[in-house]
Amino acid sequence: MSALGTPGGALWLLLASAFVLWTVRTGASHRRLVSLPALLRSWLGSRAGRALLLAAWAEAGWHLLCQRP
Amino acid sequence: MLRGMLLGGLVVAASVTEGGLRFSSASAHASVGAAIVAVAALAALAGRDRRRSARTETVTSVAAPTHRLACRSRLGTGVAVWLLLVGAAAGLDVASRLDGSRELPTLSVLVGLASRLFAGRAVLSGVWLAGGGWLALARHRATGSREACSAGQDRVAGR
Repeated sequence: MSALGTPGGALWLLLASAFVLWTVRTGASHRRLVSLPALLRSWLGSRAGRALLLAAWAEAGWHLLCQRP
Repeated sequence: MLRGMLLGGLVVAASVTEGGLRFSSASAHASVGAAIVAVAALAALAGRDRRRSARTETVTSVAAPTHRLACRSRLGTGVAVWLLLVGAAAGLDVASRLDGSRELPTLSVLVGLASRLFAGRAVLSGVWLAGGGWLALARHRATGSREACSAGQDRVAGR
C-alpha cells in the first residue's frame, strides 16, 4: 500500500473523502440535494443513459478484475 | 424479500469464487464475461417494464434528466458537486496516466493493490456485481417535469 503514501495517493484519499462526505450529506438532506442513486436513477430512465451506465459498469469490471493494473 | 435474499446469496457466492481467481486466468475472464452477459440480459428482460422512456430516445436525451434534477435541487448544487467530483477523479486519472510516475498512481493501480489479495478481490467483485444488479433492476423514479422546474424556480425567486 506504499502508493497511498505518495502525493498522488494523498490526492486520491482526499477525493475519496470528499466523495464519502458528499454521499452522506446528500443522503441526509431529505431530497433537498441530489443523491448519487437519484442521479443514476434519472439516467436509468432513458434508454441511452441506461446503455451508457451498463457499458461503463462492464468496462470497469473487465478492467479491474481481468486486466492487471 | 425472498428474491433479494436469493440475489444477495448469489452475489456473495460469486464474489468468494471470484476472489480466488487470478487477473489473467481464463476462469476470471470467463466468469466476468458471464456476469456481464447475465446483467445485460437481466436489464433487457426484468428492467424492460421499469423504464419510462420512449422508444425513439437518442443519446442526446441523457442530459435531460440531469437538467431536470438540477432544476429541482437548490440551485443545482447537488448535481454540480457530483459533476465536480466525477470530473476531478477523471482529470486526476488522466493526469496520472500522462505522468506515468510512481508518485502519481492511477486509480486502477490503487485498486489493483487491494485486489491482489483474496479479500480485496472478493469485496471488489461483490461491489461490482451488486452495482450491476442494481443498475439492471433499479426502479426509475420520476424526477420532475419542466412545469415543476419552473414552479420551483419561481418559489426560489419569491414570485
